Order: sequence, then C-alpha cells, then structure tokens
Amino acid sequence: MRLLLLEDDRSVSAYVAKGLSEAGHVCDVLAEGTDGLFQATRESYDVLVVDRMLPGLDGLSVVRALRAAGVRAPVLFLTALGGIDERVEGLEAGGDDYLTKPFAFAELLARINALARRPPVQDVQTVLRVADLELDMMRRQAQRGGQTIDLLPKEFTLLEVLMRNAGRVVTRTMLLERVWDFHFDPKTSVVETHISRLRAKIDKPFDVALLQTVKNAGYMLHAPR
Amino acid sequence: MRPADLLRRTAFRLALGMMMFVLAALVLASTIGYSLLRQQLVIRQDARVTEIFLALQATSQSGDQTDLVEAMTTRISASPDRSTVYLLRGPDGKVLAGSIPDIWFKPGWSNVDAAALKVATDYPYRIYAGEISGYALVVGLTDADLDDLAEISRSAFGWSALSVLIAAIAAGAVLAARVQARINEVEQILHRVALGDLSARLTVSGRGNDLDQIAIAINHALARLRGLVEAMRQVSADIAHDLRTPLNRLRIRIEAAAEAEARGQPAAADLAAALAESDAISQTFAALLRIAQIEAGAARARFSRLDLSAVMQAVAEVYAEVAEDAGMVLTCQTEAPLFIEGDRELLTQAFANLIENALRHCQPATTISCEVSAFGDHIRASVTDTGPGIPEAERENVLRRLYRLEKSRTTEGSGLGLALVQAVAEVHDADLRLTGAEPGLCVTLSFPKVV
Repeated sequence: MRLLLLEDDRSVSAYVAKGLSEAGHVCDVLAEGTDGLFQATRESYDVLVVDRMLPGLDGLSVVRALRAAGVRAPVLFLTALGGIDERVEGLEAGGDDYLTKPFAFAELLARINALARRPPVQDVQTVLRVADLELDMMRRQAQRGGQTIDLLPKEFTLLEVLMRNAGRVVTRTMLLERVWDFHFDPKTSVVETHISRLRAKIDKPFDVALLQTVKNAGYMLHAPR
Repeated sequence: MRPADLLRRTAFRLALGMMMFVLAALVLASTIGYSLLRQQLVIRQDARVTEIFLALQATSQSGDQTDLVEAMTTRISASPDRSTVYLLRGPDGKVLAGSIPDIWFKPGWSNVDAAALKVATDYPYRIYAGEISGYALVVGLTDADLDDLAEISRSAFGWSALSVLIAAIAAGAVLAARVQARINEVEQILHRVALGDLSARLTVSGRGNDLDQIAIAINHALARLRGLVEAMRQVSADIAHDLRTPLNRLRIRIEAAAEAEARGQPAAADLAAALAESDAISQTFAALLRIAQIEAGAARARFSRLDLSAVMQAVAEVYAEVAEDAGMVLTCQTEAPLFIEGDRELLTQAFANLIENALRHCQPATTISCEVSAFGDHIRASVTDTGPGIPEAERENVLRRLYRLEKSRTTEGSGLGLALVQAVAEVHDADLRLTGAEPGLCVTLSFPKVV
C-alpha cells in the first residue's frame, strides 16, 4: 500500500514510517502543509495520514482543499486535540477517521488497514462470508455451517464489524466506537465481555475457532490457514 | 467634582432635563390659567358696564331726560376716582353730563387708554357707547383688575419657577451623588477585579432597583468567572500533583530498563511496565482535558432534543452482560420516552461512568438498578447499587477531581469518573446528588424537562 504521512514532529514521523514499512507499506513523509497538499494531488495514495497541526497550511485546510480538488483517498487525522468538537470538525472537513495522540502504533496500523480496504459505497455486500460463517445483512441472520445462530442486535453489529474487516486486526477502541458509539475508554472489560459472548455463539459449538485475540492489538476474524 | 464633571453625570443630567420639562409645563399652565381668568374677568366687567347702561336707560324711560342727567350726576359723584366714567350728549351733540372729555366713541364696545380720557391711572378702560332715544350715552369701566391679574400671574409664575428650580437642582445633586457613589463603587470593584481580585463583590442595597439588578448581574458574572478560574487553577494543580507521581514512576522504570540493558539483563519487563505507566498518564491527562472542555461549556452548541430513557437503556444494555460476568445483576427501568436538551455522547459517558463505578467498587451479588423517570418538572436519571456505599462525610469530596476514597491509590482508577459526571451534569443544568441507599449508593441526576 502507498501511504502519505503529513507530520511535522520528526521523531513521530520517523517512528511511524519505519513501522509502516516494516508492515510492508510504502510511506512518503512530508512535514509541511502546502507541500503535502501538492504531493497528495500529484500522486495517488491509498491512505493519507494527516496531522491536524502543520506548519504552512493546517491539516484541516489541506484535507478540505484535497476534497475540493476531487481527491477521494481516505484520510486519517492525527491530533493532540482530543475534544469532541475537534473530532466532529475533522470528519466534517472530509476526514474518514481520527486518532488522538499519544497513540499505540498497533492502533494506527489497524485503522490504516481498515480505511484502505473500505469497500466503495455502491457495491454493498448483502451477505458477508468468512469460511463457513455467513452473515445475511438483509435478513439480519447469522449462520455457521448451515446452522442458524441467534444473535442480539449489538452482537450482530459486533460480528458485522469484525467480518467486514476479516483478516485484519480490529482494535478495542475501534470496536467501542463502531459498535457501541463509545468515544471514551471504559474502565471495565466491556469489549472483552461481549467478545467472549460472541465467541460462545460463533466458535464454541464448532471445531475451528475463527475469532482470534491479537495480543496488545485487538481482535481478528479470519478463516483457518 | 468639577462643574464639567457634574454635567457629565447621568443622574444630574436627568434631573436637569426633568427641571426644564417642569418649567415648560409651568409656563404652559400659567398661560392657560391667565387667559382663562382674564376671559372670565372681561365677561364680568362687560356685564357690569351693561348693567349700568341698562339702569341708566331705565331712568330715561319716563321720557324726561332730566332724571337721566340727574342719575348720571349722582353716579359721577359716586365715583370720584373715575374708575367708572360716564358721558351723555344730547341729540344736538352738546354734553349734558360727563366725567371725561368730549370724545367720540364708536357705538358698541371699545378699549380706550386712560390717557385718552385724561384720567390719571395706568389702566385701560372698557367702554360701551349706545343711544337712548336720541341721546348718546357712554359708560366705561377701568381694567385695573385685569392688570392686577397679569401682575399676580407673573409673580406667581416667578415664585413657582424659582422654587421648582431650587428643588430640581437640590434633588438632582442629591440623586446624582447617590447614584454616583454606586457607579464609583462599580468602577472600583471592576478595577480590583482587573487587578486579579476575583473575590470582590458589589454591595446590593436590597431595594430591588435597576442598580441592584446590575449589581446582582455583575456579582453573578464575577462568581462564574471566579469558578472558571478556580477550575483552571484546580486543573493545573491536579496535573502537577497527580501526573508527577506517575511520571516519576515512569522515569524509574526507564532507568531500571537502561541499567538492566547495561548489565546485559533483559529489560523487556521494565519497558512493558513503563509503557503501561505512560498509557495511564495519557489517560488521566485526556480525562482532565475532557472535563475542562466540558466545563468550558462548548458542548452546549451541539445540544439537541434527545430521549434520556433511550440513552440510559443503551448504556445499561452494554453493561448488563459485564455485570453478569462479575456476578452482579444490572436492571434498567425507564419511563419512555422522556426528552431533554443534551449531548448524547456526554450523557452516555456519564451514565457509563456511574455504572462502571458500581461495577468496580461493589462485591459480587450486588444489584445495580438504573432508572429514568419524570418527577414534577424534572427528569431523574439514577444509578443505585446495593454495595458498600460512600460515608456521608465523603460524598462531597468524591465529586472532586482526582479524589479517591483509598488514599493509597492501589486500585486502578484515575479518580476522575465522578468529576466528569459532575461536569456533564453542570453543562446540562442538572443537579447531581449522592444519597445512601441503605445499604449502597444512589447517584441521581435531575434534568430540567424540555417544554
């Protein structure tokens, strides 16, 4: 994957670029807003990672200008400002996701991966499949190996998020945001509890476990290799 | 106070303006009164002249004009000061009797100067000239009363104007001084505030007048300002106090890792601990920032009408299974739907914090009940547990930032959970109350109902 990172803090950008290339991505780094804007319009990138506060042109303006110029590449904002208003502003300016500093690299990588393979809006999949697990979006029904699984509404959403990101790590924070709309860090094991309930329904009665815990990162649903 | 300053005082200018107005009204009233009185006097004078004329005419009815001449002579001698004047001419134009020179008067009413009649007064005369069977009869009456009236009116006006003037200046000065004293006080207090003394307050006289209202509003603004500044000061003190300790621990961990590395021992355990420490620090920091942002009140701009019951139900649903796994029971009872003006995200976090507090501080077999119900003009949302509760003396304290019941701070938790709930309550104009549930704790938020 080809990524563009706009970040003026050299130690952060060096660390992130190193991590991303170790994960197999090509990463261009620029530290100035205007340069970043030109680079992003000239070249084609899979994901743009933009810091909110940049010298020259600030991150919000860069993304607004890119969207106005018709650049559709998904944008992940990085910021030290963690307020609700900042998040809303970022999404309104054309950002697709938002990550507050300080962040764990695993979190950033998971979010970049999720953004890059977001399917185009027009071809909505009506049935999601991972190995013998099927999720019928129209009938709101889950099946594994032809056997119907009863899911509560939130369990269904949780499974949907995991299946749409099948083969990729979904972090605890991503689940909290996407399934429960929680934009804060709970002090109790909310995610763990619901994951274990889901596991009991989709994995336990079957031979092969599909839902994996990725240490220090999150969860991943994938077909057995 | 210099005279120019006095003129700039609002109160004095108002008094002065009022005085001008009263003077104008006085002039108008005097003029109207004078002309009405004068009109009345003229009518009465004319009536007297007519009366005399008719009486003399009656004397001549007998046909013998000697009676008329005699009557006139009597009347003339009865008015030696010539305040009433007479003149009678025969058909041949000869003067038969009279107290004035022989002048021709036009028939009917006329006003004549005293000088023309050779009378030594300053007052004009009211004259009626008529004919009685060929004889020309003139009867006149001086206007002395009218002139007196003008004189009386003038002096009455002068005196009242003078007293109004004195009263207005005196009242204006007194009022201006009183208002000025309070304005000076406002000025002084605001000056003290500008110098940094946020505890300065204006005195409220308790008369409930407009200046009192201004004083109350200023005091309210000052109290709010002080609260905000206090909150800021509190945050910086909290950061200094509560982040330094974990920062110190972080430093020790990193030092330990560096030493281990230097001795060729594995440093991974120390580094992992350092990472956890730094995560905890950034969480505390984020929570403090979030509380400060909520307290700044920016969220109000995003407020919308929402169903509080639905918010509570969604949160309770998330935690029901968490409670079950911890061996507790979580129930949720809501009256549907109950609307308030608010921010869904903040309310969700506040309710989640309350439920998490109960989950973390209670033993298994505890029941946590969430409720939303209408209560008079309020909507109450509460989270009640049957756990150990909080001693009454500590209930105020736990709302403070970074305050924790266990002083040792061994268990997890930043001590910011309830402070955030408090901030969310404040931004929603809701009342946060901690009460004992015998046994246990009941946390209630009372929101004003949306009309």
